[in-house]
Amino acid sequence: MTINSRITLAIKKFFKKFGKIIFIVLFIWLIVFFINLYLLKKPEELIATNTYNPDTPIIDYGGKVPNKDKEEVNETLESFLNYCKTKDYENAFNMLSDNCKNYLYNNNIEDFKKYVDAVYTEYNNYSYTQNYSNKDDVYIYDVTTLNSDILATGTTGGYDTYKDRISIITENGVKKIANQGYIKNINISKEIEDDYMRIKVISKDCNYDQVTYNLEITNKTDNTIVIADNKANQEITLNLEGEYLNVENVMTLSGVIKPGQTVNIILVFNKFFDSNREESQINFNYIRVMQDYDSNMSLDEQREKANRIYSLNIELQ
Amino acid sequence: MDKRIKIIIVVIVILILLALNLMVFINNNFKSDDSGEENKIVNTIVEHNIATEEETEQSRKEMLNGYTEATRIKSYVGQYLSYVDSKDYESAYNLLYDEFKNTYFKTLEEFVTYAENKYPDEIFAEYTNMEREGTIYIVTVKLKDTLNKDFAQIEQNIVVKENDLNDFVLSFEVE
Repeated sequence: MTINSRITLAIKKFFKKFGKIIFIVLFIWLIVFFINLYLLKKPEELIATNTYNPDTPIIDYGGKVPNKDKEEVNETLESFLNYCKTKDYENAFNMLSDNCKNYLYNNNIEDFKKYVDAVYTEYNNYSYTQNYSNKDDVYIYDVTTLNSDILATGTTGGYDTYKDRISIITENGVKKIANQGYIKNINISKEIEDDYMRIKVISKDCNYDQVTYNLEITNKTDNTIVIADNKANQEITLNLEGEYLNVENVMTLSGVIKPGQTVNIILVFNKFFDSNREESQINFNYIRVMQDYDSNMSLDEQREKANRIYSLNIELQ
Repeated sequence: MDKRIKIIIVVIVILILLALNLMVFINNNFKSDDSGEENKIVNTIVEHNIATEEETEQSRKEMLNGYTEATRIKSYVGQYLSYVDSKDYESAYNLLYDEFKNTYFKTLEEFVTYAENKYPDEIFAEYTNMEREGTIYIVTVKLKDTLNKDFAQIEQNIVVKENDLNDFVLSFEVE
């Protein structure tokens, strides 16, 4: 047998033995090769990305808006803004939570109209939203509204922006709006009493950066009781698990209670809604029970004439 | 033929095929990075990418896709200024937002008159500020004349809205 015929025979034998495998490998390779070739020729799908992420909270203690709520939250916010822009006062007002209507607008749509007219000065105002923070199923957004269409003006004549902090809360299973930084009212109904006073903590109104406690205090004595008259330091504080916040409205609150009188007082503290410290106590640190009280008295004079000076803590938890 | 040699041949064939596949894969997925282009635009000189005739829409998109957000927006501003610089006023006019045109430049002639009076002959642009209001960008540019030292530099806000890559409209502060 010649060399040529031996080689031919060997090749024949080889293909007889491995032909199927080689064919399958070649077939698969051809498929992969052409798919690759197709992908290479296919234009890459390009998308413009930017750093505007309205759904990413600026403060992320409370995480993101859950996916199950995201669509409803965005629709609620968008509907409210559209109603405001188109001056559909009634529909916009109806989207507000009951607490918000009461706290900010005295349940009066005319008060709400004033807000809308002040902010949304032009039809079709441009506004954009940014999730700010989320806590306890409250989704807080910053909404920036421009008073002119800057794309149409090119900023000719300048422009102003109005920033509102809007919360989306759930009220009776429906998503509602609370705007201007207000969030919600929480009922407390706590009552304590000693020999001198009966104190009811009725509720608290939460704004994003403030909490306001609503109290009713009854003076049970024949003396004047001074809980705060801005003469002593830290007359009323809010205990945040060891951190003490001074009351902010000491100048305006009715902190001098006449004999037998019942007064409603509000205590305002600068506490952020999304703070991870819980409110544990309201502290009345310098209560003065006085036979004769005069607002011109110095603290030293009050100390001399007071029947009793004491402190009182109201547990909130 | 020895069985061992046969197996070696099969393995070699498979390896060659795999190598070819790998080559195609590398070509497909590891293209050269265009990010070095960014410096051209961050620099102040207006040498922004006017699409050359042979430059396709797709390649421009690919180039823009490699830019950062800020660079991309500056590139749009640069494109507008380049048109003005090369006296291609019609192309510059076509980039303007319709409502802006309706208010300030109802006709191309009005825009040409404005541009010829307002902008220097040889534009040198310096980006001095950039702000974003939602999805709208406001780019502040200082414009000088590279050849004419007597030209008092002007500062102008240019407002850009990007709809998609290389799809944008703009307007500017009219004084």
